This record gives sequence, structure tokens and C-alpha cells, in this order.
Amino acid sequence: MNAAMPHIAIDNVSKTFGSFAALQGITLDIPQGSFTTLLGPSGCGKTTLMRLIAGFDEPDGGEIRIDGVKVNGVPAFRRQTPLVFQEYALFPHMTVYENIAYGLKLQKTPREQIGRKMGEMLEMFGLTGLDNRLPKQLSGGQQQRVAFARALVMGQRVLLMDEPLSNLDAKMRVEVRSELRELQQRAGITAIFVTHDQDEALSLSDRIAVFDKGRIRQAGTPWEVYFKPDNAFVADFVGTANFIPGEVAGVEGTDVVVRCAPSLLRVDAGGRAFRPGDRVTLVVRPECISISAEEADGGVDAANSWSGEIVNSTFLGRLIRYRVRCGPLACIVDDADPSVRGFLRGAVRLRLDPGKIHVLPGEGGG
Amino acid sequence: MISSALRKTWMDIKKLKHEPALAVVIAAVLVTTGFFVLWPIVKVVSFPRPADYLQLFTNARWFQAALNSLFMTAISTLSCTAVAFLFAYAITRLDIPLKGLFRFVTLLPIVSPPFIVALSYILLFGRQGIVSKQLLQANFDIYGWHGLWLVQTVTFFPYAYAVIYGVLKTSAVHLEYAAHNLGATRWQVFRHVFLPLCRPGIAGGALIAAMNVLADFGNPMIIAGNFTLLPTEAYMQMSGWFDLSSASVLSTALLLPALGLFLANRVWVGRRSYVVVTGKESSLRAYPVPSYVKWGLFACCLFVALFVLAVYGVLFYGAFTKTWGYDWSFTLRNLKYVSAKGTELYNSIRYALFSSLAAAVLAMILAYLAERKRIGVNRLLDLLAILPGAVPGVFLGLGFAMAFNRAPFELTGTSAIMILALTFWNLPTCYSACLAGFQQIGRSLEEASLNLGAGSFRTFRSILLPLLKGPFLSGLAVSFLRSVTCLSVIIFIYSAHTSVGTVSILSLVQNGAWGGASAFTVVLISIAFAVLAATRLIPATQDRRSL
Repeated sequence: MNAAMPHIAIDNVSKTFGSFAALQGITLDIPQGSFTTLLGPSGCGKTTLMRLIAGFDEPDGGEIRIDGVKVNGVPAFRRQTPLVFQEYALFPHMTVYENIAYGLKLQKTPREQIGRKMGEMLEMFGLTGLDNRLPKQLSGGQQQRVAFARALVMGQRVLLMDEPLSNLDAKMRVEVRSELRELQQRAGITAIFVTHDQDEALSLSDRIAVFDKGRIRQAGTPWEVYFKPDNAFVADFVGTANFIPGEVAGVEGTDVVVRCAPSLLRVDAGGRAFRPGDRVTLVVRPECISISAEEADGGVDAANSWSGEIVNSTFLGRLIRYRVRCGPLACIVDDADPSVRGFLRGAVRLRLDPGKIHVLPGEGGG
Repeated sequence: MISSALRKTWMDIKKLKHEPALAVVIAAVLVTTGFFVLWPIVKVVSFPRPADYLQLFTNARWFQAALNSLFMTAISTLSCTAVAFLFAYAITRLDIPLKGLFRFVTLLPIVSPPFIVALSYILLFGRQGIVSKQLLQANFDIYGWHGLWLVQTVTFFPYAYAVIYGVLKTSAVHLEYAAHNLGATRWQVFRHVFLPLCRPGIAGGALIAAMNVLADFGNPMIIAGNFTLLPTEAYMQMSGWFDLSSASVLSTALLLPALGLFLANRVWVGRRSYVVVTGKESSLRAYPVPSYVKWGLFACCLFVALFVLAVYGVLFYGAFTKTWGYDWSFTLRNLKYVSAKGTELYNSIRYALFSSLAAAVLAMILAYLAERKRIGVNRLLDLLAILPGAVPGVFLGLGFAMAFNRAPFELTGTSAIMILALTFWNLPTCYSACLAGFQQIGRSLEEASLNLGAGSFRTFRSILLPLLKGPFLSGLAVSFLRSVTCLSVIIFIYSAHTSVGTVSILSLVQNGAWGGASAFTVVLISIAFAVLAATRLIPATQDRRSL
């Protein structure tokens, strides 16, 4: 196989249901052995794309290729794209063993080989001793492990996952994440993961494709998606962001000087070309703004620094989230070390690090 | 719009080239079902000349029969719905004793021969009746519309009950609490919240009752006397004068309102079969009603329950009584009638078994294709599977008699025509049970199987079939019962060799041989309950496993 060739290639794929355009011109390359997450709000098309890859539905236009071979029209049972379903879809009339071994039996795998592989799987997923139970006799976590074992037992190079962690409780979800990532890397599987949970996407993925209304709004590494969002939708959907409208006052090398309501800000243009007078939107993550009491700062109006007034505060344990009014703007600011000075009140000073401000063209960030 | 729908259908059909075996099955099922469902209907409707249809309005006797049918349907629907609502309300909402008995009473008529209530009614209130002659020493004329009304109410209220109960059981008690909380009195809550919420259920129950009363043949045959109805009049034309044209006109006149009710039911109440599928019981207790209301309703239920029990009790009594009305001593002589009609009884069971099996298997395949495969003809398959449910039994029987009476489809007088007619008559019953079963199995189970490499057939066999055992068996059992106790469908197609138990009972009744008729009916009911016990339908209807 050509090393540069993506394992799974989605090429200009579209799909409509009645008059609803579920996917419009989706193009996405999924490299061999990568963990790719399809992220987006419900109804954005991410699950539809996964179902097209698995062959449950056929695209209306475009091509899906696996290992360079077009799979449009290939029925689901010939695609070899095991899927872990959101609700697990364990066969209720079969035992754990029968569920996991089902695919092997379909392939007419020799009995001793089935025994060996099953032993490995039961061991790997901590299901030893549960093999004669029916799915309804298992806990949610155990059911989920059976679903994974069933999908992986045939040793295929692809694993599709449709929100497989959404039925677990919050603590368990975080635990399973790292196990899942480890497993995928160890086995070198090409994984496609559908979720609407941004934390899950950021923590698991090599690449994230952010979906909205049937289109991909940005595909990139978690870092890029979080710190260098292509547009306001991505910035807003992934994490919390402050959107500050402004106008380019001047261009200095790779930096632009932006005039926004409280003051002038010097920011990195991020490789984009701007001209004075352009309308822009600045994206600033709440944790990228530092906050301190106004008096302590001595009232000096330093560069990239604004004075404001706290409107309210929310204690979240690991941080305090402040809502601060700076002139006409309302900013969200996170104080990541609340134990040091406790809650701030009244007048405060905000400091914006120019390296951590991301600038998007246009009002509203396109 | 239409062209895009056609294009989609064509695309779906084209995809079948990956599964040629599936395509063959679809074609076979489509052709077979289409042939046996549509061809008889076309034969009956197209047989009379247009002028013959006008006679419906010019022939006073026929016009009266049509009016009588509609009148009887209207009043019986009202009374069935009222009794059904009473039972459903009492069982779901009231804290009263004897609920087990009341539930039993609502199940009995469903699993009994349809004309049994009419027969018992004669035994209770007829000229030699145990109530009329022995208790009251009076002589009523029980034949006619009022007798039929009572009989139809008792016979068909359980069908309405099944629907209304299903809705009442799932209706949201917390909304009533909310209304009380906002200051509404009990009566206001009942009128403003409870009743509007269960209106669709009541409408659905009424429609089911109406369809059954309209199409019924057995009870009017026995009890209606000179009060002619469309089904009995069609039978008279056929058996008396062998007038196919008139029988066709009258049957078609019956088909139209039946189709109307059927469509209304489909649109209004949806596809759910309330008889087999029940919802989850709410954990909130119903708001208590005043005790005079509670005990008043209890007394009404008890009265109906006792009447139903009397209906069955008198039948058993009659089966072992020497001469009804004159000599009440015990005898086993009546059972001789049954043994003399051994062939008919054997035919009943044989035909019921074959036809219910065939219907259940065909229904399973149809339900699978229509519900689970995107094959372009899903709607058509669905329509074919449910259409016989809209066709009154008399019409269907006449259709089979007319459609298969000459080469190359000559089946007149054979067992095959009996089995085929009963099969397609039972198809909708089995189909809706299977469809409900499929709807309860998450689609992802099937997708998981495909995803793991199983083709359509393998998935059907190893995943769906084992999970559908329950609906399959309940469809099978209900069909078996319906077939054993069926009179309307077979009345036009049986021959001397293929006669069945219900025909024998009818002739015993018509000859005034009450003892023999009772004994025969008791044997049939016993068979029915043996089948029920065997398939454990009773627990299955009340507590369905959810998958």
C-alpha cells in the first residue's frame, strides 16, 4: 500500500434524506493507524457519515474508498468495518461468548482458532468468567466491553465507534478514554470515533473533523481546532471562547494591531493577510486571559491590558469562572488557581497575551 | 415529486442485485400475496353489472339490510365502547377487588367462537330459556335487533377494551396530578385532562368494535331473525338461489363501509396492534376517586362479568343436559353429536393448524421485508398484508369461491381453498403481531449483524427469528383460534368433504338441537384453551418482554 494513501478516503460525499441535506460535499482523508473524531452537535451529519462508511446507507454523490478501493455499493456485510454502536446492540438472546464469536463463526473460522481468539479477547477486556452470561445480566461497563471485543475479535484494521462512551457515567468515561486510546495505538487500528463531547474529542484524537449542518467546518489536530479555529462555529463549539469584534488599525510584520472597544490590541495574524480597515473578530479562550485585582496593579494601563468590573463568578472546583464587563464588552475569564487568592470582587484588570489571541476575518468570525 | 419517489424506488430495487436470493423471495412473496389478496376482491367487485349495483337502492329488502347493518354497527359500537371504557377505567384506575375476574372476562369472548354468545342467549332467554322459562315464566321474542344488540355488545366489547386499556394504561397520571395541583376538581380533571388524553384510544377502540360488528356473520345468523343484515342477506342469496351477482352486490356494499372504518383506524390510531403490545405501567398511583363512584363502577363491572360468566356457564350446563327446557337431568348423550361429526372437528383443527402456520410464516417474511429492508416496494407489501383485515369474512369467502372455481385455478370443494382462504384471512393478525415484534427490536441489532459480516438471510435466521418467537407464537395462536371458530369465511367455500365444526354447530342451532350445539361448542372452546395454554398466550398478551 502506498504510504501516502489514506486508509479511508471520503471524497466529495453527499447524502440527503427527503429534502434534508444530511451531508454536503464532505471530503476527508483518514490516515492509516490514526484516531479521527467526527465532532459536532446532534443532527450535524457525523453519524450519517459513519453509517455511510459502514455501508448501512449509500451516499447520493461522491466516493468512499478503503485502502484505495471504492466501496460504494458494497453491502455492509462485506465491508469489514466493525462498528461499536452507541447502545452496544448486543444480541439479547446470545451469551457474551456467542456475541463475541458471532463474526468469527460467520467467517467459518476453525473451532480451535475461535477458542484461542476468544480467550485472548475475554482476557484483554476483563470478561473472563462472564462468557456464559446474557447481555442483560451484565453492567453497563461490561456490556460496553463486550461490544468492543465483538468488534475487534476479527482483527480488522478499521474500528468505527458511534458515541460508544455516552452510556457510561462521567468518571468511567474518563477512565475508558485512556484505555481506548492505548488499545488503538497498540493495535495500530484506524479508528473513527463519533461524538458530540468536545473533551472526548480533544483527549482521544489525532485528528478532529468538526461538523455543522452537514459540512466539515474544520479538520485538524486537537491543538489546531482548539487554539487556531478556522471560524467562530468551531471556536464556539470546541471549548468556551470570547469573541471580540474589532477593526484592523495597522499591520506590523506578522502582527496586526486591532482596534476593539476597550483598547488597541497587538496580535499574531496567524499567517492571514489583513489590511487596515478590515473587520475582524478576535477569539480569546477564557484561560488565556489573566485576571487580577485593580488596586494590586496600581491602575497602570499597560499594553494589551483592560480594566473591568466583575459581574458574577462561578466556582467550578479547579477554577473560578468570572464574567467581567469591560466597557461595552462582556468577557469570560477563568482563574485557574483559585486557592491562592479566593474570589475577586469589584474592579479588576485583565491582561491578554498577544500570542494567545486568534484573529478571524470578518464580523462574527465567518 | 412522484418522479423522485419512483427514482428512489428504482434505486432501492437496483441495489437488490447484490442479494439475488432476496430478490427472488421478494418477487415470490409479492406475486403470491398479490394474487390471493387482490384477485378475489377484483372478482367479487367486478362480477355484477353496474345496473345490478343500482338494485341496492331500488330493492327495498336490500336497502333495508344495508340500513340495518349500519344501524346495528352504530348502536353496538356505542355500547361496546361504553362497556369497554368502563372496564378499562376500572382495571387501570380503581383500587377494587376482583380485577383478575374482570380481566378474564375481557379475554373470554376474544378466544371463543364468535356465535357462542348468541347461542347462550337463546339458552338463557329463548322460549325454553333457563331465565325466561324457569325463573320468570315469561315468553319473550328474543330474535331481532334488540337481542342482536345485546349479543354483539357482549361479543365485541373486549376488542374495544384491548385498545382503550392500552391507552389508559400508558396515559400520564402525573398530568392529572398537575391539574389537581392547579386547583381542578376531580370532575374537572376527568373532563379537561383525562378524557381528552384518552380520546384517541376511545376512538380506536370504537373503530375496532365497529369493524367487527359490521362484518359479523355468526351472531346475526343465529339471533337476528327477520332483522336482515348485509352479510346474512348475501348468504341467503347465495345458499337459497345461488345468485352470485346479488351476493356480490351485497358483499361489496358491506366492503365499502368496512374499508372506510379500516382506513379511519389506520390513520387515526396508527399501526400499533394494541391487542399484543402494551406499554409500561406508570409508577404513580392514580388519584383516588370518591368511594360512591368507585363502588358504583365496580357494581357495573360485576354485573357485566356475571353476565359473561352466565353465558359460558349455561353453555357447559347445556352441553350436559338431556333436553333443554324440559328435562334438566345430566347426560353425556350430547357428546355423541360431536363424535358423529368427528370428520368436521378433525377438519377444523387440521385447516386451522395449516392455515395459521402458513399465515404466521408468510406474515413473518412480509413483516421483515416491509419493516426492515429498503426494497422499494415496502408500502405495497404492507398494504397487501393488511388489506384482508379490511375485508369482511363473508366477502373474502365469496371472493375465494368465485376466484378459484375454474381452471387453471380450480379449487372448488378442496381442502386447499379452505386453508388458503383462512391463511389470507389471518394474515393481518399475524402480520401486525410480527410487525410490532420487529418494531420492538432495535434496528442496530440487525446492523450489528450485517456489520460483523452476516448477509440478510443469516441475520434474519440467527438474530431476528429467535427474538421474534413471542410475536410469532402469539400470532399463530390467535390465528389458530380464529380459524377454529371461523364461520363467515368458510360458509361459501365448504363442501360435504371439507365441512368444519362451526358449520355443524350452525346447523345444530338451526335445527334447535341446543344440547348438541352446546356440547360441540364446549369441545371447540376446550380445544381453543388447550392451544392457548400450549402457547401461553395469556401471559404473553399481558406482560410482553421488551427487547
